[in-house]
Amino acid sequence: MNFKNKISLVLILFVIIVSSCIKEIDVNLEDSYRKIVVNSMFSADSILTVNISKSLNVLDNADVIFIKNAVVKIYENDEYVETLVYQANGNYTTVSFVPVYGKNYKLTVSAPDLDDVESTNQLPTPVAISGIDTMLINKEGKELIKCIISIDDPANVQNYYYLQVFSNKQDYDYFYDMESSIQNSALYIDSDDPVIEEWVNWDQGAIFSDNIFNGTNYKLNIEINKWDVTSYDSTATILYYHLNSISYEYYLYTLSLAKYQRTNGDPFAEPVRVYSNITNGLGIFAGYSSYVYPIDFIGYIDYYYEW
Amino acid sequence: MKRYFLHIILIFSCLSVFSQKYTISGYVEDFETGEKLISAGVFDANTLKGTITNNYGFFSITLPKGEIKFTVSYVGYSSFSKTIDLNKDIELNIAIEPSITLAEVVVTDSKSKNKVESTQISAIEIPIKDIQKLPVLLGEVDILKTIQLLPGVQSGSEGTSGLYVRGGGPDQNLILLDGVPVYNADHLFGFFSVFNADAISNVKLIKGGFPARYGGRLSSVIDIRMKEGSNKKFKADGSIGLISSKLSIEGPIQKDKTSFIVSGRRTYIDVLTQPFIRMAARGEKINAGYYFYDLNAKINHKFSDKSRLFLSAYMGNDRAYTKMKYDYIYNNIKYEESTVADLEWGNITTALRWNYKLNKKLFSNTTLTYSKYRFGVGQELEEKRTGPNIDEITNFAFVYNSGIEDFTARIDYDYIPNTNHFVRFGVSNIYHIFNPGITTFEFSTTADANIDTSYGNTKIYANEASAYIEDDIRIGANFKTNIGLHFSNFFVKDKNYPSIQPRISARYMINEFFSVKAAYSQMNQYIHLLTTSRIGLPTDLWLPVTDSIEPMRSDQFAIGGVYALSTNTDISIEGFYKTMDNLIEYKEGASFFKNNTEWENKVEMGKGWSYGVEVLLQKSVGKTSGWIGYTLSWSKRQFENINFGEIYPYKYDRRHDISIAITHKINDEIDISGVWVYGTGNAVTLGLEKYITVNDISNLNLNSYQTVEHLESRNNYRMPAYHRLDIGVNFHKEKKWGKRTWSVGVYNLYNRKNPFYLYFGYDDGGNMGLYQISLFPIIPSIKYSFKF
Repeated sequence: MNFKNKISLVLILFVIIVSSCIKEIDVNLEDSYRKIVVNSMFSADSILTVNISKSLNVLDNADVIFIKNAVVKIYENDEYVETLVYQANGNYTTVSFVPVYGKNYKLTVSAPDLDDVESTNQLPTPVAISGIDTMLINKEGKELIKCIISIDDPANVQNYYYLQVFSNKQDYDYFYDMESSIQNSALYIDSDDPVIEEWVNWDQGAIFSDNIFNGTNYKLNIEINKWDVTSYDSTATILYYHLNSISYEYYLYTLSLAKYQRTNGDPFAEPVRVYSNITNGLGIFAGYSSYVYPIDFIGYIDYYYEW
Repeated sequence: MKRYFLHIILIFSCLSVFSQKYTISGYVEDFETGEKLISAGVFDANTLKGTITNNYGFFSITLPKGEIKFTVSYVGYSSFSKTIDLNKDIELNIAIEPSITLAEVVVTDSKSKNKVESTQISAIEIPIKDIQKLPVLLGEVDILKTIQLLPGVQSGSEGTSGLYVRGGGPDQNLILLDGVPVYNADHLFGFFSVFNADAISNVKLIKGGFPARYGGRLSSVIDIRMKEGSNKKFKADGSIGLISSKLSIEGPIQKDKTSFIVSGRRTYIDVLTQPFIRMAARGEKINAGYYFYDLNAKINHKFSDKSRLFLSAYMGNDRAYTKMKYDYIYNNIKYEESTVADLEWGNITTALRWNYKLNKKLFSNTTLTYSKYRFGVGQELEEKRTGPNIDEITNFAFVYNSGIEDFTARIDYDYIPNTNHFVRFGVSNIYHIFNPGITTFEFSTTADANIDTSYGNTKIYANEASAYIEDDIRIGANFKTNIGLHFSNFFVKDKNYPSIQPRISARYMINEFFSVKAAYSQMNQYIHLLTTSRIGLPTDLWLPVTDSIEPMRSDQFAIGGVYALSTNTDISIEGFYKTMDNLIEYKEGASFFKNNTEWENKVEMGKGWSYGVEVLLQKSVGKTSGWIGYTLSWSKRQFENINFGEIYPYKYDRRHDISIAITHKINDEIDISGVWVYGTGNAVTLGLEKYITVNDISNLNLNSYQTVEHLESRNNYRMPAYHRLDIGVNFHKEKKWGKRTWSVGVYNLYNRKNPFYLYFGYDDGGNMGLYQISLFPIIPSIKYSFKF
């Protein structure tokens, strides 16, 4: 209730402001609060990239410290495969190894003066989009592209999904006064489909699970802004629908991270702990299987009449 | 055969002569006012066998025939003693006088020895005179704030009157005003409680070892009894303070038969701020304010020595409002608009009680009560348009209401067959109506049809029936036990929740100065307070259990000892262990201020534990009186979906808690008092570690990341310790018309900045640091009170 909101907040603030005092507290946070942080999401048939950084004291001025001399190893079904090679900005990559569906992967990281960490995960069953219907609709004056995405959910398995939509629209960069290279950033999606549990990446991705439709064909409804894919100066010709089947650990991580972002800074909300599956450390090591369904899109360019 | 028969008759008659007992029964009252005295000691000084008066001043003592030294004593009063040759049943009403000298008078029975003697463990009786003398925030004497100074009881945030007793939440306290439960005992968001100390005669806090007559809440019972009103002569007392003023008038309507007491209290922040608001408004008609008031009234009538009737009522309200009025002319049409916005909450409680003495040993009390708590927020807008062709009025109103209403009927019996038993039994039924939030919307114009709709949650109806039986049994000279059973059943939405709760307590007297006690009690609670923020707001909702949310339950063991150091000084040490099940808590990240429908889906159920040791050194009579309390305790919670299912400390887990409250009478004209409290910090959730997470699942090389604060666990950090010193001085002067007192006090004498809220912020150089907001600095206060 917005009104309740206003009145109570005003009254609380009144009481607090009338007689409050602010002072800084000396807080001794020991350096033992440093752990190895692993950020890695892997999928089939592409090299594994792992980002290693150090966690910091919350009062530290630096944002992040990447670790350049960590020893990062990958194991497949408990057999050692490779040691990853450092590239830049804390990223380590494998040379020839690519993950494969059906195998169990273990990552171990060790760095000087920090506790060793490890994590395990596997690639989830890839799930296909069996078809997509699109239509142009007008909702409250806005022109939207409504998409009905048909998913055949496998039975006997708990599936978790992350949906994103991309396009190949070229944008005009007004600052540099030129056409910028093909953008592959995700589009904003909207939906009131009850199955969606969380929105991530500032509404560019939708997270849901198969609790409601396990083992059946589900038609997911989403809407994209027409203006995002076709505007007066350029248009997309292909829309890419990415249905990522994500592991349970990635699902927990994404949900808790979204909750965290929503409530961070709100003094009245209960604080949220972001999920981590790194033993003795922080971060996430998770597998996902991507299924891309491209659609040819025929857009048109609106002529914009100046002055 | 005949001989045997004769022998048997002889033996029986001998036995009956030996076991011939008679009962003395009656009432103990204050000689000057006629107020009945609760828990006064009544005993035979020769054998030390005796009893205490009940909540209505009634006693019944059955003793063997012969000479007895009948004695009545009560703290702060001269005791009464009379030698009686007991050879028949006697009805005796005793009136005792307050003792003029406060020097330690050696009495055979004393407050401390009463404590040693009683089976009741984990209970503290707070003398009302101490409550009235102790220095307080802004000069407002407050019963609940004084209770926070006792061991085992913690306050929540600074200044508020929420009570956290032995690790339990603020909704787990059964606050009774003359037997009627009060739901929201807060004024001004908890800075003051609704109880006007001038109208109160007795306050008792029970933290464990609950006798079977109480039920419905897990953690404590605060039994507050209003004064009856003097039935001898008129009296008045009042005071004028910084925030509010009070007036209390009592007296007889019919001498010795009917008396009344009326007391009221109102704040005048709104009146005082009027000129300032008008200045700030600069011509525009704006008015804003906040006020609260309380009204207590009680009338009692004595039909006869057997039968008395009491009618008491309490009404209190808080209101914050803004009023705006403005008019303007446009296009030849005059517009007049007025808006009123309101935030209001309050309680009404009424009780009708009838005492009836059935016979010398059986006393009954029948009670009918009505209690209502209501919260409302609303806005009303009226627009008048007048002009050559127009004359219209448009009205728009929106009101949101929530609350709870109770109708209760109960009968209690006190049966005292002899000095070895004191049996209490009774039944009660509460019919609850819960209103979890209904919005009413009205719109009308002179032209169109009116709209009047309501939407929101439907009311929930529930019934709580209970029955109990308990007996205080004396076995031998040293051992006494109270055994009882409390039955209750809660019926809501076609679901029944029955329970049988055993209650046992026992004490063993090692000698007349020292006793050890132990108790076990099981309690059930059928209603929850759903709090939507860390500070108790009047928007908090009372909601019943449902078919998916089960009743809360606690089991508590307590063991301790009481040692009487002298006649009125005693020290008690007590250890307790309490488990709580089916506690509810908002889910992680659950939003604040949202719709209250389907609240069941937003909460988690879990459990809690608390255990610790409490030490209390108390001196109740004398020039210097007061107490020193120390508590060492742990309090934990565990919920499956909060903190990933791991055990975490309760927010109000305070490891050490010390309170010292002392009043000292220098002479008849001046007395001083001081309070010092110390508590280790409350637990808060603070992220002390930060790390990065990567934004885009598909492209790590974009290096788009953000910083996340890592929380080791919920409530992982402790705020700095809380401590403050308050002092007060009272200057009394006897005048022709009565007595006047000037009270001067200082809250937080050494101006300690106690932490109220912690957050991470930045200094001028852009460096991050941990900051605290503190609330009350040093605050002086002054109050004028009178009594005649």
